[in-house]
Amino acid sequence: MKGFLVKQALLIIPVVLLVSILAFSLVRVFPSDVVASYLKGHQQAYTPENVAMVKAKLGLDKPVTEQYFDWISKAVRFDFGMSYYSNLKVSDIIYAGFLSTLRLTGATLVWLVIFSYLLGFYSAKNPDGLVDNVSRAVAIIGNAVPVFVLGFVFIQIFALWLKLLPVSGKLSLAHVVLPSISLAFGNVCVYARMLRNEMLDNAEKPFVFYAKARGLKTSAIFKKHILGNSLLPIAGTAGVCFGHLIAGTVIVENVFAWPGLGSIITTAILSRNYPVIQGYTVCIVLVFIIANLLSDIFAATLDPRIRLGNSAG
Amino acid sequence: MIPKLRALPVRIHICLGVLLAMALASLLAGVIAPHDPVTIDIKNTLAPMSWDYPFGTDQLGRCLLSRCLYAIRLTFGVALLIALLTIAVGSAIGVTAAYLGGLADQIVRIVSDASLSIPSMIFVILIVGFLGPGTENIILAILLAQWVWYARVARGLALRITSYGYVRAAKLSGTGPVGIIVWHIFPGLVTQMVTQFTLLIGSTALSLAGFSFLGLGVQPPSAELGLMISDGCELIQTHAWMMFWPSLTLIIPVACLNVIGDYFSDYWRSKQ
Repeated sequence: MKGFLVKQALLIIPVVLLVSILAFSLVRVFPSDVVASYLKGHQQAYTPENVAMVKAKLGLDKPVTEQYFDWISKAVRFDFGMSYYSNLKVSDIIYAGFLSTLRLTGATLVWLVIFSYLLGFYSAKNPDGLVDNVSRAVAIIGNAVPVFVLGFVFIQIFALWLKLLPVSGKLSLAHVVLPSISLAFGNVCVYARMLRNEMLDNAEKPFVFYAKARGLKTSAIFKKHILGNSLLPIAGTAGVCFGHLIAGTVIVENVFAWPGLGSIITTAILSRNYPVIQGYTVCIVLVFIIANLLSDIFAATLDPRIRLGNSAG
Repeated sequence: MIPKLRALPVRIHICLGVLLAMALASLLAGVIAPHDPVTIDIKNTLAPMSWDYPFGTDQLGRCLLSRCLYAIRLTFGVALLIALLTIAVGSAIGVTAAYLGGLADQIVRIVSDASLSIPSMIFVILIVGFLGPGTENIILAILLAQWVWYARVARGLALRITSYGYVRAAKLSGTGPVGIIVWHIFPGLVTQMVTQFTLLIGSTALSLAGFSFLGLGVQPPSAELGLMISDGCELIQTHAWMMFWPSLTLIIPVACLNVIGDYFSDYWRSKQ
């Protein structure tokens, strides 16, 4: 277990180094582009004097290695410079965006757990019953309806027709409901089916026969024996699930004008705001590396087979 | 091995029929589309549904039916291209790595482990951030983000096939590495990869439309479903059909492809 974790942790170094080189080279590969978007962001004309001034200011006239060390020595302190389009530090922009994305993801996770549990559990309890068929149909729709269409359907129904919930503008609890449900929808379909299939598989295992032979109540067998064993493999996909949620926020945030990382990076790419793109690249890769590490630890603590290192994989 | 067409369940027949009809309609868009998809008609903006404009017109007076027809061609054509390239590149690299083993296999494994730790959507965003928005760039980005998954599947299958007797027999009889890969390993991958391909077209079409919706993919004035939905969402309160038709045009084929893909992956699983 310890060796496994140390190995995973050591793997971080080359990956971060590689990503930092890539993020840095972004500015080196298209230097004229960088100068142009800097001038545009600062509303200055594209004249030779201005170009020379910006090049000197951004250090683009220095040798490449010197530039990289300048950049990386600041980047390790999360200093990615200033945004071209506002007077804000890139690190501040990304930190604020990260917090609101985290809030959205957290709310989504609540829906995800509640609905996946309810749909999955009752589908498995009564296969081919009403809940099972409804959740099967919903799964087919959920896999085909893109989240940006779903988001607008929800806006239309809950915000415009029923006037129950606000659409966008603030970060309050009521505002997080619609974006988080839109984001949860597709994932609920996946996890509810996963839980159902896992439970139906486990229902045929010997320990269930044994529990039945002991004369336990069906509901007790379902809750304690089948559900407990079915949650384990699903908990193991927590890292993947987190990744899906963060990835999903990119579109949902744009639909609901939620000021998170997804909105920030889309705007930054469209306006070629290079420091923000660089900062986002480094930070998001770090987030995923840490998330994967945490989910490995999580899976290992839950499942002794992984911890003792004789898993099938 | 392949199930007979008549033995397929009704829902597969329906899905295949719908897909065929939509494919034909989009391929013949030049003939059957009532109007040009990009000609702007300022006098006829946001017209309701009529005989002349069955789906109505958009904010620039362009016929929505014609745009939908051309958009199927663009969205699903590009998705088909990306899916084909993804499967081809993925299985070529996966099979080669598995066959060669050693350093080549190690490199492919490390690269795939590293890129799988980031969700492909974020991966695409990073690549587009690097290259800038545009149709070619989004194709490249989705391809770069997706091939790894199929390389892993192909590598696993190829490792199993390489250990079979007939591959060893082919080696002993003097067949070169290229011959073995092409004639003895690839045929074993085909069923699995065709099933993956069916599911991949749908998901690629959705992500392509998603990136175009964000403004990072296909650029206006092209008729693309994600772009059309993004145009429509600004007017959803007053002119909901502008978003309704392109959404439906996107959802129906993807749902059909998913149903077919799911059926075949279950079918092959039960055969094994």
